[in-house]
This record gives sequence, C-alpha cells and structure tokens, in this order.
Amino acid sequence: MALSTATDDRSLLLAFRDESTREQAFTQLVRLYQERLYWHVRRMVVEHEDTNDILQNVFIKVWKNLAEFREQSNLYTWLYRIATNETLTWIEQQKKRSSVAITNDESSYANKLTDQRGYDANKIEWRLQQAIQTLPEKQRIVFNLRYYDEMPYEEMANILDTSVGSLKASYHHAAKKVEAFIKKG
Amino acid sequence: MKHHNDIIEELKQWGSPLADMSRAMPYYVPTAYFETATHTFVKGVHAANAADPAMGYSKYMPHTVPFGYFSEFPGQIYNAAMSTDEFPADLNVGHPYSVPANYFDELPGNILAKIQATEKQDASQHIKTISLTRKSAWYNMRWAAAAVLLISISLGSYKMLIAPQYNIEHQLASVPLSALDEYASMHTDDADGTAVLSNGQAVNLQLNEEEIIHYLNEKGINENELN
Repeated sequence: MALSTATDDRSLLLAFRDESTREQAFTQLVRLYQERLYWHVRRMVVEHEDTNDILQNVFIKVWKNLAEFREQSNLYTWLYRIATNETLTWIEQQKKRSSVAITNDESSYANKLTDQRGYDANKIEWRLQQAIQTLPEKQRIVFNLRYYDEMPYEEMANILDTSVGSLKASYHHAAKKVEAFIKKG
Repeated sequence: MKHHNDIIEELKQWGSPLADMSRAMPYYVPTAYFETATHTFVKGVHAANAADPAMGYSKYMPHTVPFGYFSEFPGQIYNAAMSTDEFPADLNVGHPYSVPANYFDELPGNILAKIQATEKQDASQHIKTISLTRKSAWYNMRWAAAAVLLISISLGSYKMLIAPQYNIEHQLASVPLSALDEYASMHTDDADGTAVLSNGQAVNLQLNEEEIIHYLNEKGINENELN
C-alpha cells in the first residue's frame, strides 16, 4: 500500500518508525489531522495567528514523541491531548505576559471575538461563540469537544484525565449556561 | 454518524435549543491556509530539529530480540555456569544443615503438647492474670462520687442561704400591728393586760413610758396602783 494513500493510524506509525519513510509519514499525519486540531485550538484562543503558533508547537511535540506512542489510545485522542495541553499552556503564558491585569479572562477572549473579521452580533453562530467564551477554560474545552467534535465521553476522559461522570455533568452545565446566554440576547 | 446522532439526542433529552442550532464556524480563515499549512508545519519541525539536533534522533530501538529470549535467559545462564570448570560437578546448591528424621511431620504435635502442658501449669499455680488496662471499681465511680458531693453541697447551701426561714418568729414578724391589736382586744381582758404589764413584758413590746401611761389612762388603770 503506497504511503500517500495510507490513512489508518497503524500504517502511519509503522512508516514513521522507519527512518526512510519518517518524513513522508509525518507529512501525511499533519495533512490528516491539521484541520480538526486547528478548529479545536481556534475555538479556545479565537485568533488565527495564535492558533497557527500553537499548532506549530503541537506538531513539533508530535514529531518528538510519536515514535514512543504506545497505542494505548487512538492516535487522534493522543493528538487532541497534546493540542489541549499546548493550548492551556499558551493561555497561561499569555496571562503571565500580559502587562494589564486581566481579572476576567473570559471577557478578554470575548473582546477578541468582536474584533474578528466578519463578526456579526445578530448571527446565531457568533452569539454561540460569544456564549462559549464566557465559560471557564476547562468547561469550554469539554463543550467544544462534545458539541463540535462530537467526541464520546470515554475518549474525552482519556484526553482530559477526568471521569466520564464529571464530563457529563460539566457538559450539561456548560450547555445550560450557553442557552441562558443566548436567550438573554 | 452514530456519535452525531448521540449528541443531538442528548441535547434533545435536555430540551436544549442547541440541538437544532447551526454549528458552522463563523471564523475567517485565510485563503488556502490548509493547503499550505502542512508544508509550513513540516518546515517548522525541521527548523526545530536544526535548533535541537537531538530532537531529530528517534528513541525507538530498531534491534530485534529472538522470541522467548528473556524468559529463557536465567536458565541459559545457569547451564553456562554449570558447564565451566570453576563449578564442581557435585556442587550441592542446597543448604548444608541436616534435619532430624520426621522432624517436620512431628512438629505440629510437639508444639500442641507443649501448649497444653503450659496451660495446665498455669491453672495449677492459680496465676492471676492482671489486666493492665483494667481499672478498679472506685476508679470508674470517682466521677459519680464527685457529682453526688457537689449536689449535696449545693442543696445545703441553697437551704441555708436562699430558702425562706419558715419559723414561727418569722411568720409573726410579718403580721401587721393592727391585726395584733385587734386580736389582743378580742382575746384579752383588762386583767390579762395587767398581767402582761406587771410581768414587764411591755418592755419586750418595745413601748415607751408615755405610751404605757396613755394606755393605762384609757383603760382606767391608775399607774400608782401598779407599783
């Protein structure tokens, strides 16, 4: 099977472990997962440039550690975990670097949202994004993974190291908060 | 598709309007970003590699190991050691001590016999077992005794200091003078009055001389007759 058409994770991993096909396998992996990971990160940090920077860090980490990936979970679960950790690390670093004390992180991202190209407060998609930005970081991740990425709770538990029950409760609360925000108008 | 349906169903169960809401991403993405992103990210990885050469080296071990190698390894070492001249052929790898015949078979019975013998000896010597944790009855009752003493003192103090004194003198002292006068006039005659006065009990009534004379005059008694 030609590597360019190999899409299953197992083939990619074997090809990556082979020196002669490593770069080709990595390129294929990036092509397969970049868009999903991009939106996962962008829904958290809003800005395209910030998303691009974080995603670059994610793939550098993937290159470093893919050879040791023990396949105890799906490859994409592992990739999501790296992307989530990198995003949260980046957000923490931004908080420390910011010269202005941000007492409400959610409001700073809400402000970034209104600066986005094509922003329209009357459109439900933007209202939904505004509502999501009011959620605490961890809850925002849970909501995005479930609502947008349609991820099963068991896989989310692997990514976030949280129990399925906690995730269900967190998602439920997040959904209620989002609804309340949208209804408030 | 199954996950999609599960999520929609879940939201509908909660009665959430999110179930019917559009999930399109409204964010702007630069044109052809994803087409060029792969190349950009791979280039970025190479740049990171150049900055940190060790990053490019894989930690994956390319060597293969024969099947069952590690499980058979201890046995192979033993056989190899035994086959050398350094170890005598008749090397006894067991311990050098000898054990009497049938020792382990008889051991449980011997121990039991010894235990029974010890118990009999204890019973015959009437060894009293003193519990280190047992306390005397007085030790346990000390708090009750203290409570009883306290209650007794409290009751006694209450009786002495606070309880009203229900004696005759106290009761009489509380009777008004007008009532006494009325009683005396109803139940005594002049003779009794004289007897009272002659006994000097007027002094006990704490009357002054003027009052006595006034009384005598009212009663028609001459004071000189009293002397």
